[in-house]
Order: sequence, then structure tokens, then C-alpha cells
Amino acid sequence: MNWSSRRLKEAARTFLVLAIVFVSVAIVIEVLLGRSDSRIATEFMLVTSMVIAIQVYVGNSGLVSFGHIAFFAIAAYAAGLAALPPERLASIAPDVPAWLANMEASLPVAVGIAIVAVIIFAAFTGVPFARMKASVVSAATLALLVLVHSVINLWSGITHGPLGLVNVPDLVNTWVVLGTCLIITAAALLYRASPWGLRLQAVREDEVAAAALGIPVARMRFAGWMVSAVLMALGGSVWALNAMAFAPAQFYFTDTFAMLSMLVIGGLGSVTGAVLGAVIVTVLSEVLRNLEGGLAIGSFEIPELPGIVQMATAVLILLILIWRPGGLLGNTEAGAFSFGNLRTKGWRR
Amino acid sequence: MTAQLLIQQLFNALSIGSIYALLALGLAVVFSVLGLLNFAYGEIITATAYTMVLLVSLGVPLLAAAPVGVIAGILMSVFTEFVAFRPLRKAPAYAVVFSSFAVSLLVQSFIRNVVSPRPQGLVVPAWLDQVITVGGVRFPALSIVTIVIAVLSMLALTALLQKSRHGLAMRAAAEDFETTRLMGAKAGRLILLAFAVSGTLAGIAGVLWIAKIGSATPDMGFNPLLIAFVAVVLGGMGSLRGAVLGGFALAFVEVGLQVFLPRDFVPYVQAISLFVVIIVLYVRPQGFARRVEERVA
Amino acid sequence: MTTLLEVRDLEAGYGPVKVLHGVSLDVNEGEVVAILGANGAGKSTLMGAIAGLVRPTGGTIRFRDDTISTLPTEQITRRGLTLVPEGRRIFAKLTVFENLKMGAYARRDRSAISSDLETMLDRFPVLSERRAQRAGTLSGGEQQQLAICRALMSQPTCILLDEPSLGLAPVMVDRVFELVRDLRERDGLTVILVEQSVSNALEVADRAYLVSSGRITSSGTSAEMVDAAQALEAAYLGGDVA
Repeated sequence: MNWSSRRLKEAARTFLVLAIVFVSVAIVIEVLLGRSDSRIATEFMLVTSMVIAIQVYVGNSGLVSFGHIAFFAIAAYAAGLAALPPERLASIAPDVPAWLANMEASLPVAVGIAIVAVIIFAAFTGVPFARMKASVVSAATLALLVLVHSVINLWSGITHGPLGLVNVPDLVNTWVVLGTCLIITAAALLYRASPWGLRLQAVREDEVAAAALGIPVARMRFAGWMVSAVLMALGGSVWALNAMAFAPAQFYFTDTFAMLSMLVIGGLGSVTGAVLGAVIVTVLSEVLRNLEGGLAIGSFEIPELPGIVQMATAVLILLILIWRPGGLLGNTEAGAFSFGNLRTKGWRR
Repeated sequence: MTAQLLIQQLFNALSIGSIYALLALGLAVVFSVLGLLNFAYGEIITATAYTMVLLVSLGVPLLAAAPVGVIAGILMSVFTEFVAFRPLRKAPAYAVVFSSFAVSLLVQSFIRNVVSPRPQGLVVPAWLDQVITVGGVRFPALSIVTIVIAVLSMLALTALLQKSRHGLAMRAAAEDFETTRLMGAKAGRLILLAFAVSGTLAGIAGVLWIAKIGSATPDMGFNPLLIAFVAVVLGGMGSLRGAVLGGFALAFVEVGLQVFLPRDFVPYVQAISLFVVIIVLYVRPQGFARRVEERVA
Repeated sequence: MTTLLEVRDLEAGYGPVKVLHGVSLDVNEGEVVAILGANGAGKSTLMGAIAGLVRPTGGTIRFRDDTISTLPTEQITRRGLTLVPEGRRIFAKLTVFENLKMGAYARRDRSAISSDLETMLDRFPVLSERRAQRAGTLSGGEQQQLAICRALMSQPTCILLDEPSLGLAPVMVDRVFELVRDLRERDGLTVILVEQSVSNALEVADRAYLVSSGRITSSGTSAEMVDAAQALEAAYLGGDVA
């Protein structure tokens, strides 16, 4: 297996940039923000890390997946169920098997269980999906999302149905969140620069040519699917233990669309793009959410507009796709701009 | 399981399958020419449904409202082509997934804000509500009409594809788009035609759908979309015949599950049928389609 | 002799990969011109660019005083310039008859099409026999015939043939070249022929161009090219070629 040292260096530089960003945010949270604000901020960091996890699959393979939220859901519920003490579980989810219910798992155990659960699920679904034709995989992942959401909603004996899990122990602090972000970012960048990542990108660019070169298309897609699933599980389980309460509605369209739009806007092909997109969409959402309830600026009144966040994001996506189909950053990572590069190639890329 | 019950369920499956098959066909037509799935496809049903609700509430008889509803569906389909597909002709394939998905959300938001987020009811004329009972088996008039209309539509589509010059071009394009252009067929027009045909089929399915469920909600397009997707995936790569088969297969699985599952599990029908589909794809990734193209000597 | 097709300094490629680096050639009305060269030299790209399937990045192509280099394929065919692509690319799932009908898709004179179809089938009894068969079931040689007939149905003035003898048995190859000769004699077409089979091509062509690595390296009448071509074949095949 040949690792490209150029790409590894680019990955390392990008990691440095993103790590600085994440660490700074974590420090700001710890030092400046109060309890409720810091929870919002850590949640944002975790969502960003999950968008990165999605990028690992969607960005490298060029296949849109609606199903990653399903991994998120499974991880969240697995971690939540593991961490909840048996007394609380008995009333809300009586059918949970005893070995899981009696666990009052610590952070690493809960996360571990979530990752195992997702690995099983992702492996099972990943095999048929990897063999499917590219044009229909997206539709199949949509079906997957519906499948998981529907099961979570209905199987109240285990999941407490539409009401979801509450009072999940708060096992997570800012540094755990930071650690999670860093691990996921590092893994994503490493995979992207790795021989497997590169092969998957080759398949993305031209499936026929890649196959002709001897690249095992289905296997590479499967690998991307699994890596991104594991990262998603990591982010999702930590998220669950940070959010402490969640319901099936969390793991359906609104969130799927939000996360995918972050990818599209920021740039599918790069981890930095995922982060950038997350920032843009989150800021936009917060600004617009204040408008949703109607707003009076002086004598100028903006009426109530439910769903304006979604509408605006949808319009933004359309514009970006028409103007710059690869997203704002496309395939460019932060680490692409080394001093050496700038000297020889100049600022234009 | 009595013969009576069997016939009843077979009829139900046929009737549901007819709508599913139409839905699948509409999606497959575009897919066969473009190689792309339209994620705003469900909104064609929505457009048709709301148009009909509006007209019927104004006193227009259902039979007159239906063709207008279909036209609304065609317009919605063509709109999607112009906004989500045409501008992205040269973009990578995943871009239209996002753009059509975005169009879908925009339409839903539009309806929520401009019409209403609440369900809008449609009253079906009395004659459609009738049930003909033969030997203990119930044959609802609407179901009979559904099967008849679906069959007629599929025959009409076949006629268009086999007998007309444009249908021939569409079949040729489905096989080899580039060579079809080489014959002088204008790409843009062909694609537009595909979307129009797709809109017609989905529009007809939409009329049958809203007549059956009786009320329209902004997100009603999602279910038809999922059904169409699953049926097309099952049927294999844009094969029109496969799509029809896929639609009926899905309907039979759903009805079968409803009949055989213990009562407690009935809400899981959708989840289980999707699971069944995944298993089928595991075993046979190309779905019902025959093994690839004929290799020529 | 009027110049029918004029290509000047044509540059074309696929994405960042440039294949043609400034190709210039002329084709006169009623001529048969052969484009020769090894695999990967750019012959098919040249055909593709002329027919409008590949967008040129530089240079011009003029057909009968119209600049066609910026036109889409559909419009180029409608102007009387038709390509029979490499590998024939007949519509395997359509019948022979339907393939021919597709060839006539762009024609304005719809009433004349059916009689033309019959005339075409009379001329090619093999195709007539198989008219209701799916085109995918035809043999290679029959498919080549079909592909050329399909192109003829659009009533072109100039026909481009990209490797018509590729993959065919020697007997079929002869038939194909007879057909090429017919195209000029009987149909009065101008023919541009891309071929790897140098000897066959030069027998039927008036003039030839040799393409190498995206450039024209030599050109001339068939007689002149025969010697050059023999040297080429010897170089590529490493020995004497009969």
C-alpha cells in the first residue's frame, strides 16, 4: 500500500488548522460561556463532527446518503440505553434486554456499545448498498432512513417511542467533546489521504476507468461506508450523552437535510468544507430562526414565516449548486495552502 | 385463509399495486433517459392533489378536476426539470440529488405558507364511494376505477413508446443518449418530453391517490416518492417493465404482510417491506432486471 | 473541387487531457479521405470533434461555409454531416427497422421516409430479412451495415466512418469496403474514413492524412501514402507486412 506523502502532509496541515479552530472554540466555551450557552456550543461542535463523518462517505464516494442519520439514531439510542440506570429505564423502556438495562455505562462503555451496534447495522446494510448502481444508492439510503426512523418510533418497548429518551446521564464535558471532534477530524483527514480514500475518490471521478484500473469498486465503497459509520457512531453517541434527551423526530428529515446542506454548501470534497458549511448553515439558521416568529424593526414588520430556515437553506443550496456545484471549497482543504505552494503557484488555485 | 379472503386481498393488492406501478413508471421514464432520480417526484402528486382539492372545493366536479390536476402534475414535473436538472446538466451526478431535494422542500414550504399546514380534505362523489359485493368479496368502485385507469395509462404509454416517433427517440435515448443525439434528436426536447410523460403518469397516480386517501398535506409527496424509488430499485435500472413489476411486488408484499402479520406488528408493515427490499437487493443487486446488456458478437 | 469540410488548428480533448494539438485538414466534395494512425493517436477524437460530440477547445471547423465547431451534435447532423461512431453503437434493443427509422428522425420530409426505408431495405436484403429482429442479435458485419444504413437515412452530404472494419471477419471487412465505395459511386457522398486497416483504407480512398499524437504528420494522395504507410506498419508491427 503506497501512502502519498504529499497528501499526508496536506492532511496534517489541515488537521493543524482545524484543531486550532476546535481548541479555540473549546477554550471559549469553558472560559466565557455559561451553562446553557455552552451546551448549545458543544452540541454545535458535535454536529460539525458528524457532518465530517458524513463527508467521509459522501465526499469521497460522490454518493449522497440520507441514511447516515440512521447511524446517528442507532448510536444515540444505544449509548442512551446503556448509560441510563435501570430504575429510569424500567418506566420508559421496559422491554430493553436485561444486560443492557442493568448497565449504567460509563462514557467509554456507552460509546463502545454504540459503535458496535452501528458496525453491525452498517455492515449488514453496507454490503447490498456497495453493490448497487451509483444512481440508485441515494434512494436506497432514503429508504434506510425511513426504516430506522419507523422502527424507533414504533418499538416503544425499547425506545420509548415518539417520546424518546430523557434524563440520559450527562457524562460529557467540553474536553470530551473537543476530543471527539479532534479524533473524528483526524480520522476523516487520514482516510481521505489514505490509499483507500484515494481509490474511492478515483471511483467517484470515473467509475468505469477506476474499475478498468483494477480498483475494487464495491469494496472501496463499503470501506468508506464503514469508516464513516464508525465515526458517525462516535459523534452520535457522545452527542446523546451531551444532549441528555432526544426523540425520533431528531433523526429524520429536518436534521438530515440540515447536515447534508452543510456539506453541499461548504464543499463536499473536503473536511474543511464540511466545517465551513456547518458554520455557515448554523449561523444562518440562528439568524433566520429569530425571524420565524415574526419581527418588528421599527415600523417595518416581518410576518411569521414557519419553515423559513428550511426554505432559505434550500434556496441557498440551489444557488450554490448552480454557481459552484462542488460547494464553496470544493475539494480544497485548509492544508492545501502551504507556504511552499503559495510561492510556486500563487494565490489562485 | 378462505378463498374469499384470498380473492379480497388479491384484489386489494392489484388495486394498490396499480397506483404503485404508475408511480414507479413515472420515475423510471425519467431515469431511463437521464440516468438520474428525481427527488422532487413526490411533489408532482402533491401538486395534483392540491389542485384537485382546490377545484373540488370550488364546486368543480371530480371528473373535470382530474385532468386539470394531471396538468398541474405535468407543470410541476417540468418545473423541476428547469430548476433542478437543466442548470446542472454538466455538474456531477450527486448535484441533482441535492437540487431536486431542495426543490421538494421549497414546494412543501410554499404550500405550508401559502395554502395551509393543515390537511385539506377532498370529498369524493357518491358513485365512487360505492362498493360492489360479489360472493362476499368487496370490490370498491374506486379500486376498480383505479385498476382500469392504471391499465389504460400503461397501454397508452406503451403506444406512445412503440408507435410514435418521439417514443422511439425516448427508447433510443434510454439505451444510448449520445448516439440518439447523433441522429439529430435534440437533447433538451427529449428530456423535456421525458419529464412531461413522467408528470402525466405521476399526475394520474396523484388523482387516484388523493381520491383514495381523501386529504392533502404539504408533505404527502414523501410516501409516493419512497414507493416509486423502492419499486424502481427493485425493478432494476430504469427498466420500465421492471418498474411496473417492482410496483406490484411492493404492493403484494405490503398487503401480504398486513394479512399475515400478528396485529401488534401491523404498524411495522412499511419498515418490514423496506427490510425485505434490502434483503432482495443483497441477493440480487440488479433487482428484477435481466443480467446487463446483450453482448454482441 | 469545392471544399466541403475545413478544419483549422483544431484543439480538443477530454477535460484537462488534450488530445488534438492543432489539426488542420480539408475534405473536398465527392472525395473519400482516409484518416490513418495508430491507436490513441486521436483519430476518434477528431471524428468526435467534427461531429460535435467533443467540444473543441481551439481552432475552427467549417462545413460548407458554416462554422460548426460550436454547434451541438443534433444541429450538425441536421446540416448533412453524419457520423457512424466507432463500435457501431446501434440500438440493440430496437429492431432493425426501428434503428433505420431513428436514422431518419431529423428529416423534415416525413412522407418520403417510408418509401426511403423500403428502398434502403431493398438495397440491403440481409437487413430486410431481419427487419423485425432486435438489432442486438445481428452479427458484427450486419450491425455495421445497419449502422451505415441508419446514417444514410438522414440523407447526409458527408458521412464520417469511425473504424468500420473493427472487429469484423475478413469477409465482412471486404463487404464493408465495397459499401464504402458504393457510398461514393452510387450515393454521391463525401466520405471521411478512420481506419486502422491501412491497406484497405488506401485502396478505397483518394487521399489520406496520418495522425500521430494529436497532430497531422503527413498527408497526400493514396499512392503517395502507400509507401509512408508501409513504413508505419513496419515500425509498429516490427516487421514486414504483406
